Formats: sequence, structure tokens, C-alpha cells
Amino acid sequence: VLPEHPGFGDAERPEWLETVLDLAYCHLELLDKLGLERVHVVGESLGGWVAAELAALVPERVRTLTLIAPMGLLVEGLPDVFIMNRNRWREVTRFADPEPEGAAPSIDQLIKESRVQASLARVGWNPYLHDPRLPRWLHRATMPALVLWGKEDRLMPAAAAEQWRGLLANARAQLVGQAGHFPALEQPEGSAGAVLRLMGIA
Amino acid sequence: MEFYCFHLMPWPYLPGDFMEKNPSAWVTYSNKNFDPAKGQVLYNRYLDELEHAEELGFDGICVNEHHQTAYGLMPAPNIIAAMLARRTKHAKICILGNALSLRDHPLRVAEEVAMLDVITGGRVVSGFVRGIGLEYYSFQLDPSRSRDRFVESLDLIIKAWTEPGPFEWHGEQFELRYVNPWPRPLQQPHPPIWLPSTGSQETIELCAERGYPFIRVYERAEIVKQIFDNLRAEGERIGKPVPPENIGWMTPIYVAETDAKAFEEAGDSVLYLFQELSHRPMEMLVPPGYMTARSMGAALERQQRRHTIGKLTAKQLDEQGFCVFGSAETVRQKLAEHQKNMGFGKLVGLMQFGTLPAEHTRKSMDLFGQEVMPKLRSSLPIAMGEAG
Repeated sequence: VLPEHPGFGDAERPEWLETVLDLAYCHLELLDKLGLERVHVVGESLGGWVAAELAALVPERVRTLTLIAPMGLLVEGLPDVFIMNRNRWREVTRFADPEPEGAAPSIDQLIKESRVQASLARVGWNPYLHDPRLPRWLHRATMPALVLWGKEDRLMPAAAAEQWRGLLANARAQLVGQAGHFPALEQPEGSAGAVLRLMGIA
Repeated sequence: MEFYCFHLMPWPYLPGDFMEKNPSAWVTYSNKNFDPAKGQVLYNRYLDELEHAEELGFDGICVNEHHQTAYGLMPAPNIIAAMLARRTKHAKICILGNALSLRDHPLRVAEEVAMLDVITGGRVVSGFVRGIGLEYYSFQLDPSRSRDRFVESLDLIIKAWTEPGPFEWHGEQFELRYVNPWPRPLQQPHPPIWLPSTGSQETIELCAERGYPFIRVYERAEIVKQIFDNLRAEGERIGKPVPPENIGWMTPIYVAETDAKAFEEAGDSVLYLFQELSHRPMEMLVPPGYMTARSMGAALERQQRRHTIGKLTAKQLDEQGFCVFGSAETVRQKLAEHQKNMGFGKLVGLMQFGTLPAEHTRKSMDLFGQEVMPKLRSSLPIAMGEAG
């Protein structure tokens, strides 16, 4: 199942969206609707933050937890994701030189991106991309967990992996070389292998 | 036609290599570059200039609010207004405006403006703004809540001014069990409310619906006209035609003995306003969620065109109606022409801008007050009938 966070895809941001915890509740309802009792949860970046909230909220529903370069904990000195233009975004999130942009984005494209950014602002503007409550409750997430991080991540530096590992009850951290903020994109095989091993599939 | 003198109180000491070395004059340009000793001289000089505008017969003098920037040194407009309150006798004091969405508590704004209104005998114009996008970084306030916060603050303030307290307020943004601010304003039902704006569709609808004067800050004359046309069309659409006095245009004005001298004396100063002081990345100016999707399209188009503004000469800025420069006769003619095209009933002149020094500011204000304003006053009521 690959759910979309409401407000982060094609749909308008719902009025009720205030916090990342709201997104976690929303995904919990989805699990209920689909009749899924216990699942493996994988979340990346903002999705990692949502996954962590979900795992602390209902640990009994989460079989394993994979957090890939998650947002959600306080880290000082982060670049401001809301001030970046497209080129800067690629610079801080990629390890390899990304392919150059083709044509300038259309107004429609910019409006859509801006809508997603506005949803991110709603849940992550202040406090900046973290939830001060989260460290208090992460210990509730007792399932086997993996914190996976690109060594060259300049958006959310990999040093935070250790912080996550310490707060989760049963986690190990793994850094992925030659990868930025999206290791699954830049090192798909290594990343997938680590996740599958955690799930006991490979 | 009404005449207002506006001041931004800019910091005029940015170094020559400022634009190469810094990404922005806002948010991140270090305050170590603010020299308090120079600031003391500046504040007092700028206040003198606003006070002088009353002597020249301007209908009102205007202050505004900006934060963490060299662009303007008035983070607290009500403080500046309070100083003017006791030093002037007749002119309206226009706060353009209090940035409602940036304030912790709207009742604090209601109280301060009511104090000013009572003390001045009802000379206050209460402008309200959201604060520009950059200020949502400076205060780390969620821009996606800006519009809702603005409208609820506005409604709460008006109710606090017009209905006897205490009453309860249960809104989305504010929960209050005792709304009962002392003092109440002197003007009835409340001080006039103006909305200075870049022209988002939401603000245009709000102005048309409630009859608030709409003030557009400097921009290419052609675009200002489109925005005013849009406002008038909205008024027609809802059956509340927008009269010229509810339309205001704010523009830098400089008057000298001759046209050539005007550009010679103030050309660099106006470029400093459009280049150095307006230096900031687009991503900072329009943070996510600050504008609704329907307003964003028009604003993005404007911004894409705006990239070229930094390359214009002072002459080109003047030709395109970003500012009005020349001899008294030239300025009078240009303003009459702009007024005829755009149909505004309030002219808000930015009489000091950028690095413009005290003596030139004073000279231009005097020439404007003595030779331009009286002639426009007597000639324009006729032209106004043709507008729009």
C-alpha cells in the first residue's frame, strides 16, 4: 500500500490538517478501513516523521519500522527548505550531480508545487520540521526498527541517525554511502536490501 | 483628490558591493550593519519630514510596518504614529498598516489604535496588512495561516471597537472570554480602515464588499491600472461600485527645478529603492501558503516580469510609471495623466526614498506642496468624473 498524505499530492490540503500527528491518524484510519492489523511501515523524509508518530501512537499495529532520513526531531543549523529554489533543492538533496533542468516550470507546475509546500508549511513551519513532543513518546515504538540515512544528505544531515537510534526502543542505524537525502533513489539496491532484511524477507 | 505623504524610513547606508555579497536586504542581512548613532539622526530627520508634510498641506501622513530589514526602520508603526500624534494638529495619521497576522494579539492593536484616535481627536486612519512574505520567516509564522488570521483579527478588532464589551469571541484563531478593550476609538463607528495590498483577489473582494479604500504600492502603471480595473469590476459585479476615493496609488515622487535635474538628483536614490532595498530571493518573498492558488498565478506572472525591474534606469522606471519624476509642471502633467488612466482618488506620495538626502527631500516636498498639489486639487475633481 502506498498512501498519499492528504494535501501533499494532487488533492487540495484538507481543512483539518494541522500537524504531522493528524497525518498519522489519517493513515491509521486507512489501516482500519483496509482491515490491516499489523504492517511493515516505511517512511522517508516527511513520511519518516509520519511513520514515527504512527509507531509511537499504535506500536501494536507496526510490525517493523523503517525511517529513511526522517524529519521530526530538532536539529539546529538546517538549511531552510522553504527558501529554496528548485536548483538549490536538488543541490542539497542529491549526492550525484542531478541532470540539468529542462524548460522553466510552467505556472501550473509552480502552483502545484507551491500547494505541496504550503501543506508542508502547515505542519512543519513552526516548530521547524520537528515535533518537540516526539522524543517523549518514541520509546513506545518497541518494534524492530531501521534508521537509514544517506551519508551525504545536506538537507537533514546523517548525524541525526544516532539521535533517532537512541530514542527508539529497538533500532539500528545504517548509513548509505554515495547518497543524499533520498538514498532509495540514488542507491536503490543497497537501500532495498537493508529494508527487506529488517522485514525478514531477504 | 486627496494627497498623502508616505515614508518608509529606509536605511540608506548599504555598501556599494551589497548586492554581490548578500542574498537579501531582508531576514538575513545582519543587524550588525545597523549603526544606532546614524539611526538616531535618521529617525529624527524622517520624523521632521513627515511633520513638514502637514505644514505643506498634505491631507495625511503615512507610516508602515516592516521587520528585520534595511528596507524600512519602522517595526512598530504605532510608536511612530504616537510621536506624530502630538507634533501635528490637522493631518490624518495613516498607519499603512498594522501587520495583523504578525501580531500575537489583535486586541493589542485595537487598544493602540483606539488610544491614537482618542489622543489625536479622531485623526487616525487604521490601515491593516498581513505583513509581506519575508516577515513570515522573520517571525517564523506559518504563512498558510496568514489570510485566516488576518480576516479574523480584522473582524475581532472592528467588533471590539463597535460593540459594547465585554463579549465572548470564539473563532478559529482566537478564543477570548472577555473582549472589552479600553479606550474605545473616538471616530464613529470606528477609524477608517484602508487595506494596502499587492492586489490579491481576496483583498480586492474584501475591499469591494466592505467599501474599504484599497491602496496599491508602487508598480508598473499598466499593472496598477489592471488591478484597479479588477477592483472596479468586482464592485460592479456585487452591486457596490467603487468610488475613486476608495482607490489609492502609492508612488515615489521627485520634483526639481527641471526634468533633467530631477533625474540627476534623485535617479540613484530611486534605483537604490528598486535594487538594493528590494534585493531578496523570490522564494523568500512568496513563502508557501502565503497566497491562494488563484492569486498565485497572477502574482507569479508579475514576479517573472519583475525580474527585469532591477535592470531599468530611473528614466525607464519613470516612463513605465514606477515613479514620477520631473519639474513641477512635468510632475503635475504626469500625475494628471496617471490619474485619468487609473482613476484613483488618493495619491500617496513617497516623498523620500532610498538614499535621497534631507535637503533634496525637503526641496522636492516644498515644490510639490507649493506648485503641484494646489493645481491638481483645483483641476482634478473634473477629471475624476471621467475615470474608470
